[in-house]
Amino acid sequence: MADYLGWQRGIDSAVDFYSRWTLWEAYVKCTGNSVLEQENAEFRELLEQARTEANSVQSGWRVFQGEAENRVQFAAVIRIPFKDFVSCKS
Amino acid sequence: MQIVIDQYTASCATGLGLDALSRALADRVSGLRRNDFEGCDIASWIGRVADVEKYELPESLHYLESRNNRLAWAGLQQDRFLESVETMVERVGARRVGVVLGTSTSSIGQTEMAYRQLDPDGDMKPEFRQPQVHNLHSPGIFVSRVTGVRGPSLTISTACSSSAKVFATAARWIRAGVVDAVIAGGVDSLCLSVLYGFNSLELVSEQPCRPFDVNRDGINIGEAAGFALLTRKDLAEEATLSLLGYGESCDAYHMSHPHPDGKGAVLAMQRALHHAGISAAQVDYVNLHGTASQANDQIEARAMAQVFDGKTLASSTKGWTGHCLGAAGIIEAIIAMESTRTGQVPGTLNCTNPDTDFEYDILLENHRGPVDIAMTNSFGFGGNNCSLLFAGAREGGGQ
Repeated sequence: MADYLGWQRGIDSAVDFYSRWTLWEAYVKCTGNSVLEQENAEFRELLEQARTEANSVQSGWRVFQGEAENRVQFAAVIRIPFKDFVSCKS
Repeated sequence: MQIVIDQYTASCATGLGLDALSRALADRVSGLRRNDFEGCDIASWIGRVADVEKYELPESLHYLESRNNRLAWAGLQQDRFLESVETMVERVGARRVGVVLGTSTSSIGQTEMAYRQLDPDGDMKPEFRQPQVHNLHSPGIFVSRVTGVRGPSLTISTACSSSAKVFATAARWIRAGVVDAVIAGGVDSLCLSVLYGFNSLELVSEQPCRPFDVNRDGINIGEAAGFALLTRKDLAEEATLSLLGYGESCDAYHMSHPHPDGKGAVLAMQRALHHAGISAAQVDYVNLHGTASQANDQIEARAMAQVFDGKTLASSTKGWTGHCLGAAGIIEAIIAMESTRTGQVPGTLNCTNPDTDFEYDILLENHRGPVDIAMTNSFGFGGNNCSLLFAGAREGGGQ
């Protein structure tokens, strides 16, 4: 999990880790503070969405992530509660 | 996975280290004093840590000079905390120990000084050009440097819940396998921004604060540094205290006023109980946020009545320490931990005439009896809430 989140270097060069961790914290809170100890497909999808800045809501999740200023990360995760949201949109 | 507390230390207005805090609580001696903070003429009482100024940083850390970091330096040296960290580093390696600290204003006092002492051209003097100090993450940087740990380091700033939320993040790091141990804590020091800021909000009392008293009229600002070393049970065989659960929530209601029904507070407490897998009736003591502001105390009592049946002991210790803002969470977490270790439950200092409108009876006098599980509440501006549950030797467990 640590490697998956990007924690491979010292504290001065781990921007990827802090970015991914910020998203992980937002995701965990969006899932009702579940005790999540392993990566999962859903979070992998959020990471991909954040990385590609995809404007996709197909999974029912929307990610807003960025760097407010140098080394200050933010992330917001919105869970869209409509099961048939995708079909409605299409 | 059981998360345990290997070592902890607290320094606040009652003095440096756990012994000073325990003695003050047992003897009901407050650490509050009339406001004598340099440059501040507000008529109030404050929880100043005596002689912080005398704790000079070693030369290698002069570039991190600030009152906040001096307070952290003084706090780290109490209760053999640094030795415990060193032992943990020897056991798991520096890269497997992280740092999560809470603060509200970090080293902003140093920034205030820099602006007050600009040179004639309006430029910042060389000694104040401290990019790692005029920075919210200053406590995290400082503690990482002092201890030499090389794991991830971050600082949480969610007002008065900051150093309670550090326990939740630390536990998530350990459970995710990012690190094996975390130095969790909080450091917040007195500064003019905070003293005048809260005074402008008309939240500061001219008297020693009286939590839950019918005549309460505001808070006293305090300062503190506290630290706890969290790890997995298998890495700390002698640890008997565990972090049983945590709950976080946000009111999403108002910038500075809690939700009138205490919805966020209730949610945080319920989530902590759910996370720990216990019922409210199993909690023996709750260290309340209990700031002595009109709104907090009324709404927290209302929230307590929605979660507990009235038999669980509940008190505020702000009458001893003042409101330590970003360090309140860690200090009160440690008071809760100590109650499970010693069975000493502090009452509510300065509350002589409890508000009868409250829906929950507050413990006024100190109490002695077994405490297997203790909760602490931290509720901050912005509606940030965090409740923590600790179990003593007899309970352990947790997820």
